[in-house]
Amino acid sequence: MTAASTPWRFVTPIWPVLLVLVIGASLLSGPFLSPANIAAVLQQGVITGIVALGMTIVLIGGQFDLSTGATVMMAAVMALLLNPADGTSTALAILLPVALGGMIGLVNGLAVYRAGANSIVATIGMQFLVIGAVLALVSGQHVRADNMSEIFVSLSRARLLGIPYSVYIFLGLVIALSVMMSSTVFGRHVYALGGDIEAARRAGVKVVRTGIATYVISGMLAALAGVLIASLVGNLDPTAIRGYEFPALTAAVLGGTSLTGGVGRPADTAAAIWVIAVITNVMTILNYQYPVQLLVQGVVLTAAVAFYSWQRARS
Amino acid sequence: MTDGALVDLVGITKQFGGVRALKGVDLSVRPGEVVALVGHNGAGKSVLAQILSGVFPPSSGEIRVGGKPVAFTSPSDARLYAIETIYQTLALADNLDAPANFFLGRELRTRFGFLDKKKMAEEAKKALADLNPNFTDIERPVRQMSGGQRQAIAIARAIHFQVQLLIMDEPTAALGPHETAQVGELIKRLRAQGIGILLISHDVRDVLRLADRIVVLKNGELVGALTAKDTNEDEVVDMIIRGRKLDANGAVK
Amino acid sequence: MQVTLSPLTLRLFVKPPLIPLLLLATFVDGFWSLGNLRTLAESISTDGLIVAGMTIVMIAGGFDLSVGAVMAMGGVTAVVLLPFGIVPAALGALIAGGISGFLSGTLVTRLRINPFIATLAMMVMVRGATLAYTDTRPVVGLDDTFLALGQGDPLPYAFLIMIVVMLAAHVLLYHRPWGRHAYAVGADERAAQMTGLKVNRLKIECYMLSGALAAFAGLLLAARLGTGSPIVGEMTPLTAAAAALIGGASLRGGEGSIMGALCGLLFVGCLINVMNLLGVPSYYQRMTIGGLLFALVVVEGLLQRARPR
Ligand SMILES: Nc1ncnc2c1ncn2[C@@H]1O[C@H](COP(=O)(O)OP(=O)(O)OP(=O)(O)O)[C@@H](O)[C@H]1O
Ligand SMILES: [Mg+2]
Repeated sequence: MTAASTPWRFVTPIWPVLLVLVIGASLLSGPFLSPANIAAVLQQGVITGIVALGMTIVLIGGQFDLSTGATVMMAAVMALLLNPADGTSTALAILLPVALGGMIGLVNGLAVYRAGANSIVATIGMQFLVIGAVLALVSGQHVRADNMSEIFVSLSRARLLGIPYSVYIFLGLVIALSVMMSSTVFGRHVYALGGDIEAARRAGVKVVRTGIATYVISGMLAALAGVLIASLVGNLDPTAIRGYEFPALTAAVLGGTSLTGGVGRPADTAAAIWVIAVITNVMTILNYQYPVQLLVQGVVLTAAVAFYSWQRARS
Repeated sequence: MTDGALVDLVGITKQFGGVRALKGVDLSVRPGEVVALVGHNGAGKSVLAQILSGVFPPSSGEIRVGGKPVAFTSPSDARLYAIETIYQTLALADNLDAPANFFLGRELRTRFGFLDKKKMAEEAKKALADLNPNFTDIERPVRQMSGGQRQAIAIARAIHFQVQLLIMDEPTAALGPHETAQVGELIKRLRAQGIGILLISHDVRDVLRLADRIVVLKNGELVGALTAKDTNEDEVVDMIIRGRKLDANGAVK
Repeated sequence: MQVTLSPLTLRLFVKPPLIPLLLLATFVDGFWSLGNLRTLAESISTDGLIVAGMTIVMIAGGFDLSVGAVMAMGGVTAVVLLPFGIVPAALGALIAGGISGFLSGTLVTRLRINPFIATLAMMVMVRGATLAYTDTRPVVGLDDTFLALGQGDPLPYAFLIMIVVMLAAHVLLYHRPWGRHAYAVGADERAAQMTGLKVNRLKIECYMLSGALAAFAGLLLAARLGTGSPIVGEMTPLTAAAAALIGGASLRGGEGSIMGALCGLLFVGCLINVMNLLGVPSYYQRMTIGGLLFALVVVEGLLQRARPR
């Protein structure tokens, strides 16, 4: 049986890259492997990572979701506005943003799979729609929640074995989504959508429903990421948290998710997230600021797309 | 309408923008009957097949199953009536392997609701080996497979499940002589089981050998219906090319 | 009963409803004042250059998300080069934009990257480079000649430049073989390739044109604002895409015209202008443009679906 085969078994070079990077980083700087720094690197990837998992699923279905950055912002603002001080408000501050994220995904999904809208432009439009709405809601001001409940804060700040809870949430999601994509009917159908949507339809796959579900999942995951940001900071400038869709897209592509659909795995995206986290960590240690990091991300995305398209053309 | 027919198409027309692909076609298939649909390229054969399998609805006209009018909104509707189709363009998801394509849309699950990959692989392997014993390396993306192997997957999956009407749109187009003969045997076997078959083919000799009736389509219109055992190659070819009218040769049912 | 409208009527009343919008605007205080018309002319002139480029790229079957970032880069480049004179500054901006377009085009053609993703990556890289170079602060140091370029009486120079560029683009598309080829490539790339057109070259040229125009728009904007800001143009790809789509360009290529783009530009420009006059906060404007673009692509999707392939 050949190795580089069906999408859920497709072997990407991202894991070896991660290994080499980790070894390289620890050789270059001694404290890299310290438990504190490892925890920091792991946590750094969590927010983008959760967004990237959703992006991966939409991409496997053959479409794009560039509205997720705005959804992250919406959820973070909303969670704080709901002022999670006691049990009920904490539950609401987690559930309502996630539900709203799912609704945004639903609208995206309807536009793309029902109406046949171009998914890149439609979700960019949605991005600005949501950002505008959120900023209008808070008049561009900071939002803050005083005395957030213990549970809400612990989502991202409490630690188990020195590692923040949010990291476990991310790992749990990676496992759950991996199983979903590789071993359930739904996951199989998402791969079929990305492979050949007309073939999937003729084979009896409910393509519209399945496709919409990918967007709903993506929206809910992005909102969850926003809730985690809220729990981490408690006080935020909405204009400062944005643009998560781009590193998420970069991570998905770096992990081998095909831009034309049908290929990719959540676990590989997670590996790519850590690759980026290690690079960012090293760049931060070396004191490179946001603009340079932006530039590097663009280069990494381009290089990754080019590499995989070359690899596929060769096989 | 024909008594005891599996399906009847009545006055089917299909318009694509300015193109009138079908202009009022009537056609019936009975259980255990092989109806061959022939005609020149672009005559409308595949459009007719796709209407019958629910890919798109007719512009006007009626589809009846077992005498009752039905409206297919998608191919899965047609499948509910045990109508299976082997499409001319094969309709396989290129990135998936053979078992995944084989069971696409009706995956087997374990008790816990997960995909039963092992069972699907075994069943698909067995079904494919029935068609082509040399076809063993099935767990790789079908993109990497030969035209014949892909065709085998499309055929095997169409006959594996509950089927009463099988639509075959040029099923042997990509096959070698040996495999073509095997498909011929298969058609005979299915016919003996009482399955109705609508066979679209350009191979007149095959059609004469396998079909009970031959229906000729020209520019979207039915121009002739022949009984296979009362006709010959020349007459069929003549009709495909010149397209005599139905009433002209008295072949009206 | 089926109503048939002449193409021009359709263009002015329905697709986009430009005249109705202008009539409505009459009820907005100060819309027809000279001062406001001047503001309107200024605001659509920089966007107009970009819409022209975007339309050409879309006709050839592509898209350019990098225009906003390239605009910022163009403004910064021009201001930085200004000490060497205004001509080197302008040339520098044009060359910088052209290079960025060349890179986009190369990613799209040679590496076969989806144009949206390729230009998204370019957008991030150009923006990152511009922010890094300026340390995220606006660059200043303008001379009087340059500032004068941002003025003009009675019509702003930028507006005149935009009209000239639109005319030139119209001639290029309608009266030169190159334009015919661009439509052919956008409609059916494979067929165009087989008839011997140099498809890759033509597409790269489209992106270079778009990049150069965006950078030049950045120069004009810098002249008007009096600084070269690295953060301008965030909304630009959206407004430009909305204007081009309203003007009849298609995301699938092969369609669109400069006349249409001009109408789309006026429509979006008036919409923003009216919102400004009414004192609508910028957040709602952002929402409106986002919602407009979303609605446009949904409508385009539905239309494409209704149409036979
Ligand atoms: N989806 C479609 N959209 C628009 N026109 C179509 C579509 N499908 C088929 N047609 C047109 O309908 C006509 C009949 O096509 P069809 O595919 O049925 O021919 P055919 O008889 O199967 O020919 P062949 O022997 O080449 O397979 C052709 O003119 C074709 O261009
Ligand atoms: Mg056909």
